[in-house]
Amino acid sequence: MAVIEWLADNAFVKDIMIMAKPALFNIYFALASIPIGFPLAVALALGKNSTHRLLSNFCRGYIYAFRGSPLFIQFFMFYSIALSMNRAYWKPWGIDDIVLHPLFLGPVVLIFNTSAYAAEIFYGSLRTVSKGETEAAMAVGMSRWQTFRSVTWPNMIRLAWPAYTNEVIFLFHATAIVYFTLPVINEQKDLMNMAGELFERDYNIFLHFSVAALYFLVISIGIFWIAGMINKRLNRHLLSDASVKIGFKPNYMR
Amino acid sequence: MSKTVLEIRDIRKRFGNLEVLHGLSMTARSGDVISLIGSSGSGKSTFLRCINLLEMPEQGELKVCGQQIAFTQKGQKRIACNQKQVQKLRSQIGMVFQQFNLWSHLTILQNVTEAPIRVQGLSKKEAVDLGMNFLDKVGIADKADMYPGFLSGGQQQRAAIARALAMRPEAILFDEPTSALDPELVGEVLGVMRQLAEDGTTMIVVTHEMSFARDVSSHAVFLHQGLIEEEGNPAELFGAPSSERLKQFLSKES
Ligand SMILES: Nc1ncnc2c1ncn2[C@@H]1O[C@H](COP(=O)(O)OP(=O)(O)OP(=O)(O)O)[C@@H](O)[C@H]1O
Ligand SMILES: [Mg+2]
Repeated sequence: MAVIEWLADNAFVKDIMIMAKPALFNIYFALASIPIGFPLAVALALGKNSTHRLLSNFCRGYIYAFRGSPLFIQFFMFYSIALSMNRAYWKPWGIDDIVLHPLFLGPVVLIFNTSAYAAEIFYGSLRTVSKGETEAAMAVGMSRWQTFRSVTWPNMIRLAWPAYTNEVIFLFHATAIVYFTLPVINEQKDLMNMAGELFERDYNIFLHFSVAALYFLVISIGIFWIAGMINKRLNRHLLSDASVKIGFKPNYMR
Repeated sequence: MSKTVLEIRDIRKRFGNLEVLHGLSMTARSGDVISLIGSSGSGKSTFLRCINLLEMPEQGELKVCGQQIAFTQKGQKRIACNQKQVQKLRSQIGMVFQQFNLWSHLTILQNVTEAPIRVQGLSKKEAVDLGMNFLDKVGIADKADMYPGFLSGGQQQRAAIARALAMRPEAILFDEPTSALDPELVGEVLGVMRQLAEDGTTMIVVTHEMSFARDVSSHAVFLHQGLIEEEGNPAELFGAPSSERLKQFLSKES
């Protein structure tokens, strides 16, 4: 009993309990962005690789714009643009509650950003798919779509996977800055909000942000673990030492 | 008289300003084994690739089993009128590459069944039965469930031959099928090709294996700088070459 009482009274344990719900908001932002960001990135990569000039240039420009400017500023930009269009559009259409809501706008910005980064990754892997293998597919009479499906796609995903895993990790870490720009509604606080709030209460410089970081760390390891299993499966046709291993390579600056 | 499988008339091909094929013609009847010899850069590969339109010749006609391929001009470029017709042609004319070009992420059996399923619409079971048959024929049925990367070069090339055979093509094009192999593995691949020739498979073979060209083929063609310098019965061509260039070439090769 004494142990339980001690635990219940321990500041570290308390922080962990308090931050469990805020962590869900960071997870939500990532989970809402990835399923849309992924196919969008594939489409952008194919577009950039297209022989259609206009399409290729559009995708090139999009990717350049979102990789070339800080995510932080993209949040500010999108939020201020969304605000300025409120009177003319969102309000009259009755969708202002949705459009301006951080749980909507947050993922929107993250999707724009991650799709650009991931597109560049997929574009690179697309270019390294063996020309001989795609030619062999055409030589048996496959259409371009069949060639893509049977040969290009599986190789492109396999080659991109380690880098894409890092992109997913970065995206998850980037959810920490969503509420630096967007307003907190009701009690919808994420890890950073909660850590900051707790800090302002007792000015414990060691505890609160460390616990927030611990949440990011643990969830990141989970992502690495799942991605690593998928990577193994994607490389099952290779001799074990030939495949690229996924390691913990966080990318803090961008 | 056996039926005409391939009729190639006056093929010309340019890369940029460099014309590499200056008007080549060839007819292949069912059961013909035509070997194409010539020094490096004479255009042998380019000619083969023009036959299944992996390269588009600027000029010339192509008839496959009596079907004339229709071309049209689009700006500077010549294109096929109907992509479906090109796919049909390719499914009727198999190709075996110097570098095998097996699909590395698929098992040997999947390599063989992929095109019959996707292109010809065979059921999985039909394709597997058919595929195992051809793998047996080239002597690697026991490798069916392995990935290409785990096989020797000779086994990979035999798998590539089985992949071409599985489409039950009218003819098969071979582009130096043994050039990438270690010397001790050349024999097993030539053995398979010899067997195919005996079975009456129509083949066009680019090769540096002079004994194969002499002993197995029914017709031999010597290419020099994008033109047919000499052609005829292999026994005569190799026994008593009339052109100076062929004499030189043969003395260098053996
Ligand atoms: N994609 C290409 N772009 C530009 N030039 C090419 C291309 N493919 C081939 N060529 C040129 O065309 C000529 C014929 O090449 P090809 O590969 O057909 O020769 P080859 O007879 O097959 O030679 P090898 O015995 O070395 O395989 C060469 O001069 C080559 O440099
Ligand atoms: Mg060649």
